[in-house]
Amino acid sequence: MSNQLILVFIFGVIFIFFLLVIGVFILVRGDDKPVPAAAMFIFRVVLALAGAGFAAILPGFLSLQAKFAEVALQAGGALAVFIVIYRINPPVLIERQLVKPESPEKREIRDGNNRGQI
Amino acid sequence: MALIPKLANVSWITVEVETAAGFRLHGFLLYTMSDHFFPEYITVDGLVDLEVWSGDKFAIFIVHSPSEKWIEYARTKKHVWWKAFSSHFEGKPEMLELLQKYGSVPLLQAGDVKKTMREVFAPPINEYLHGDEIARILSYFELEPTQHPCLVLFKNLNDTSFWYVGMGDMVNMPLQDLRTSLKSWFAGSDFKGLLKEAEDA
Repeated sequence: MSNQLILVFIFGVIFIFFLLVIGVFILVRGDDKPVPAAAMFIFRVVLALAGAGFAAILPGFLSLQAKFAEVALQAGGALAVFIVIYRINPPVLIERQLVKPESPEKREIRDGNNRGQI
Repeated sequence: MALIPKLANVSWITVEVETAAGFRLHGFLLYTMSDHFFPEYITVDGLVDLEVWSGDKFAIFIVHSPSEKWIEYARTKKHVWWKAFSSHFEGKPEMLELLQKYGSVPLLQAGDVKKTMREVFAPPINEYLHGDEIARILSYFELEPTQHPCLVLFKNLNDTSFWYVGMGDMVNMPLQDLRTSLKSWFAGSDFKGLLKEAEDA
């Protein structure tokens, strides 16, 4: 395994670790203010790079593309991981999970004459 | 939008609002003080948001003690709420002015406890009375006492049909998520559909 690959892997692990720490901090900070979009963009790029670096050394990942030249195979695999991670947009995923009011339900008051006053 | 300091006022304010402002649709946003974080949201940003989102065709009623800022805003803008409540409101204009200037000044002292002018003149609503009033409105619409928080929408208070929008799953949502969710609802097709249906009726 080349020194270049090991370096890429180490940087990937370090960045992933720091992003994990930042993510946990944001979750437990007890502040309802959303993370600024600019910061989210930075997180996405760094996470995508870190994920790509991490994936470059995965054996299963390498063997998947064994038909090609080794250098091209590693670069192609890491690039694919970068694109996949970068394409995932966490704010959109979170918004989709947001609980919303139920759909309006039309109801009838059965005993309209005897209802009280408000 | 209107806040109701005392529920006995609901009937007459509805009549006045309907005739004076021509709202097409009315509704109650019903929550108790334990439906976190609805009361917290209304106290902080909710009034401003609902005032904007509800528009000029929808009158939303909230059982909540009005803040001084709201009263001042309503008075300055000659808001429908002010028109309806000003003659019945316990605080006369002179009193409101005094509260603004000297609200934080201790007025009474009993033992070690000091009460400011604002506390002394605060509306007599606590979480128990508030819960009672929410229960009365739910009962009026033949809803279960547990069916809150919710939105109850109607064209006329005397109609026998109304729309129920449950919000039980939104209890304990963080404030920002709650705001986003409500904003999406008011901007969405459900609310617009109800407005159109009320207008066409």
